[in-house]
Amino acid sequence: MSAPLLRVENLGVHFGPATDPVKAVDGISFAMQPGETLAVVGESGSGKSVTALALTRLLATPPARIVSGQIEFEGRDTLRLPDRELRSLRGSQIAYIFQEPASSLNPVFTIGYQIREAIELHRPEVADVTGEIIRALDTVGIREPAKRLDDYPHQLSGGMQQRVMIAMALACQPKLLVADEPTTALDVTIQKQIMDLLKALKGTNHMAILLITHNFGLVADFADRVAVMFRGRIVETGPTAEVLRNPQHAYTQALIECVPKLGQKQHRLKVIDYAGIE
Amino acid sequence: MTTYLIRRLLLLVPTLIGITLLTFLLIRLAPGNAALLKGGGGENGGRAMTAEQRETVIKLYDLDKPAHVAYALWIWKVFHGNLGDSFVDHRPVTQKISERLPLTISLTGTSLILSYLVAIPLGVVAAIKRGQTVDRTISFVVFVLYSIPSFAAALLLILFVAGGDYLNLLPMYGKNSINASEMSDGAWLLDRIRHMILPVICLTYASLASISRYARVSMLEVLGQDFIRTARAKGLAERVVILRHALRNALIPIITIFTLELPVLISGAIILEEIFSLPGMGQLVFQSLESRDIPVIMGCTTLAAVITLLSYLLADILYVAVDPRITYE
Amino acid sequence: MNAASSDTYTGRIWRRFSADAFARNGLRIVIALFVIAALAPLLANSHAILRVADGQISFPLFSSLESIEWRFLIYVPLGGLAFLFRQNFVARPGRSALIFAGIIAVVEIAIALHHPINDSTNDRDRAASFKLMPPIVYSPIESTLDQFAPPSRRHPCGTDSTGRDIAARLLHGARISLSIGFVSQTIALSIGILFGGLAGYYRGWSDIVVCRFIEIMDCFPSLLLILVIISFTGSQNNIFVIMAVIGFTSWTGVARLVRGEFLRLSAQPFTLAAKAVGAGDARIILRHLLPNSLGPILVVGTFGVASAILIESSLSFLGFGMQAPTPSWGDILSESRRYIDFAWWLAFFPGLAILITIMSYNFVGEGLRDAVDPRLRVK
Repeated sequence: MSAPLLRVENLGVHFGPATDPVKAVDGISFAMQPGETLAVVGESGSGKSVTALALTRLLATPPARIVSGQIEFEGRDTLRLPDRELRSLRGSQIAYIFQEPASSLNPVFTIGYQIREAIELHRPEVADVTGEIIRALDTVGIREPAKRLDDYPHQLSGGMQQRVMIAMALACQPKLLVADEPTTALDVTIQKQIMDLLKALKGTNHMAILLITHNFGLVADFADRVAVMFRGRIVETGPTAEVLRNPQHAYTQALIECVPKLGQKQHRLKVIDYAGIE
Repeated sequence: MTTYLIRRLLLLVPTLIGITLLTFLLIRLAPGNAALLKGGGGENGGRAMTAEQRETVIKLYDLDKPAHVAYALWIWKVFHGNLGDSFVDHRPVTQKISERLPLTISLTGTSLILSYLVAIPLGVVAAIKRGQTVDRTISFVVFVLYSIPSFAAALLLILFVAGGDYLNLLPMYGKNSINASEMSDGAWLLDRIRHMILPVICLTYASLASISRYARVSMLEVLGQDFIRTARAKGLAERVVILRHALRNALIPIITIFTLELPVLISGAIILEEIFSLPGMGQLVFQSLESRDIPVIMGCTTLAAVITLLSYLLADILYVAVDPRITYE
Repeated sequence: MNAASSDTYTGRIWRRFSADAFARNGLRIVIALFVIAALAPLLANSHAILRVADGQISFPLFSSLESIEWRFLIYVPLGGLAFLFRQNFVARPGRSALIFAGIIAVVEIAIALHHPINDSTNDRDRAASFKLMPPIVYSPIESTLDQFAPPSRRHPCGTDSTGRDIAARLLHGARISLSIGFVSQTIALSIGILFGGLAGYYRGWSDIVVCRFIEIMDCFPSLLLILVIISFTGSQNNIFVIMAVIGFTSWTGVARLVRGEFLRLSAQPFTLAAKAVGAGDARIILRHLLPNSLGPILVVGTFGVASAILIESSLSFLGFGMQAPTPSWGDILSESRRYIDFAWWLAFFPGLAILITIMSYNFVGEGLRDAVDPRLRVK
C-alpha cells in the first residue's frame, strides 16, 4: 500500500479542567489514502467535528487541549509543525468547508475578494487571478460567475453560499478536503445538489475527502470507507458497503436501524438504546 | 441611497419642530420667574433683570404676543441666523459663538480623535489576549478611569502637575500665556499645546475608557464568529485575520458611536473650560448662565440641539454605508 | 443568602452576580454607603448620644433630630428588614399591609409629637460625668476657629475655610448624593418604563410618537439642559427641583431599552400564548413582559444612579446644585479650587468619596449586566 496521505494516531482532545476533563476525542486512529473518501459518522457530541478541526490545529486551545497523538499529513506531524509551515499547509494542502455557509463567509467582503485572498496567498504564480476565480465559481455550478464576483455573501442563497465555500476551498487545489457537515444547514434538495457536486469534483481533482456527518444516508453513495464515532472513540471502520451490510458494533447497528426504510412496515421509528452499547 | 436620504431627512422634520418647541418652552420659562426679576439668589449672584433687559427679552421672543405667533416668529428668526444680541455686551449672539467655537472644537476634536486612536487598539489587544494579565489590567485601569469625575481629575492634575507646590510642568489655565502675542509662531504653537495638554487629558480619559470597552466587546463578538475560523483555515496569518477580517467587522458599531459623539464637540466641555479658564463655547455657556444672558443661552442650546440632530442623521447614513448587510429600507 | 437559593430567574441571576468578586464587593460598598447615609447624624454630630451630668441621663443627639432625620433613621433600616424577610410578607399580603400601616402610623405619630431641641451648644466642650459621642464629634454645618486644618486625629479629613469638619460634611453629603441619585432615577425609570413600554407593546403610532419624543430629548446635551432649567427657574439649592430635573432628563436610555425589550418579548411565543388565553394588556405587561425585562432595567438603573450622582456633583461644583452650608460633595470640591495650593485635603477627600461611590455602583452595574445576560459575559 502506498504511503497514506493522512495518518491520525491516538489523537486525544480534552475540554475542561484537567482533573475532570470532558474527553471529546479519546484516543482515535485512522488513515486516509490519497484520493480516498472517508466518512466519519456519529451523533452530535461524538467528537467528529473536533477531530476535523484538530487536523490543522484550528481548535481554540484555551478551552480545548490536545493531550495526545500525532497527525501525520504526508509524513509531517501537523500537531508539532511551526506556525509558518502549518499556515502554508492550511488552504493549499488541506482545505475546509463548514456547516453554516452563511456565517462562514465574511459579511463585509465580496465573495470575489475572499476567493482572491486564498489564491493570492497560496498561488502567487497565477497571473490572471480574476479568471481563476471565475473558473472556480463556474466549476461549482454558479451561473454567470463574472457577475457574482462583487456580490456579498448575504445576497446569495444558502446553496450558493456553500458552493462559494467549496470554490474557495478548491481554488488552491488541496490534496485533502475536510467537509464538516456541509449539507446539514441546507434544504434536502440542495443537499443532494451539493453532494453531487462534491462527488463530481472528487473525480476531477483527485482529492481526498474527509466527510463529517451524522447522516448515514449520505454515506452510502459517497464514501469509500466509513468510520463510526461514538463518545470520542471510533467503534467501527471499514469499506462502506461492508459496514452497511454487516455492521459489527452494536452502535453501528443501532445507527443503521435508525434510518427508516421504504417499504418496511414500521409503527415506530427506532431509537438508540445507549444502555446496550459499550 | 437618495430615496433613503430623502426619507430620513423628512423624518427629521418633526424632531426639528420638537426641538424648537422645547427650546421655545424653555424661553417662556425664563423671564416668568420672580427670582430672576428680583435678582436671583445663591452665590452666583443673579443680577436683577433691568427693565431694559426685560423689554429686550419680550421683544426678542415676542412674549407679548400669543404663543403660536411668538413661536412662528422665533422660528423665522432662527432660520435667518438671528439669535438676538447678548445682554452683557450687546453683540450678536452668533458673533460671540463664532468667536469661541474654534477653541472648543480644537479642544474637543483633539480629544475625540485621540480617544479613538488609543482606545481601539487597547480594546483590540484586550480582546485578543482575553483573560490574560494584559486584558485584566487594561480592563481594571479603564474601569477606574471611567469612574473618576472629570472635574476631580482636573483638580488633582492641577494640584500635582501644574502650578502649586509640587511639579510645575504645565500652565494652570488659559489658552496662551500672557505674553503670547510676542512669541514667534513656533513658540506660540508650543505654548498653546502646553496649555491644552491638561484639558485634553481630562476630556479624553473617560471617553477613552468607554470606547475601549466597546471595542473589546465588539472585537470579542466578532472573534467568536465562524468566518474567523474560515479565514484561519485558509492559511492566513493571525495578524491578517485580526487586522483585516476581524477589525473591519468590529469597527462597524464603533463608527456609529463615533458619529453620535460629535455633538460633544460643542457642548462637552462646560466644566473643564470653566476650570481651566479656556475661552471657548463651554465657558460662554457657563458665564451666560451666571449672568442670565438669555439670548446667548438659548442660542447655544438651539445650536447644540441642531448639531446633535444632524449627527444622528450622519450616524444613520454612515451605518448604512459601512455595513453591506444593511439595505436602504 | 442560602445555598438552596432557588432556581428561579432571580435566584440564578443572584448566584452569577455573587460569583464575581468585583460585583460582590461593589455591592458591599453600596450597602455601606446606604447605611452611612441613613445613619449620618449618628456618625457625625456635635451632640452626644448619651450624656450623664448632674445625676441626669439625657440623649441630646436624639433630642435634636429633625423629623426628616428620624424618618431616615427609622424607615431605611425598616425597609432593609422588610426586604430581607420579604418572603414572609409576600406570602401573606393582607396581614403584611396591616402591619406596615400600623408601624407607619405609630412612627408618624411619634415623630409628630417629637419636638427637636436644637441648642447650638455642642457636647464636645461641655463637661459631663459620662458622655458617649458619635465617631466624628463635629456637625457638618458647624464652623470652628480651626480653619484650613490639615487632616489630623481631631479632623480626619481636615477642615475647610470656615473651620467645618470635612469628614462630617462628607458623611452627611452621602445622604444628599444618594437621595438625589435614587429619587431622580426612580423618576427616570418610571417615565422610561411607561413610555418605552407603551411604544414597545402597542407599536404603531405610539411607537412613532415616543421615538420622536426620545429623539427630541436626546438632542439636548443633558448637562446643558439641566443647567438651563435650573438657572431659569432659579432653583439652585432646591433639592426637590434638582431631583426632578435630573429625573426628567435621564429617562431616554431606559425608554429605549424597555421599548427594545418589549418589542422583542411580545414577538415571543409565550406572549402570543398569553393573548390566546385571553389575557388583557395590563396583565400581559405587568405579569409577563415587565418581569422578564427586569434584569436589563436594573442594570440601566444602577448605572443611572451612578450617573445621577455624578451629575449632582457636577451641578454643585458649578454652583447650580446644592450649596453651602448644605454638605454636598461637589460643593466642597468647588470650594477647594480656590485653596488648592495649600489645602489639598479639600479636593482629595470629596474626590475620593465620589470616585469610590461611582466605582462601586459601576461594579454592581457591570456585575448585574454580566449576571443578567451570560451571553455578553466577557470574563
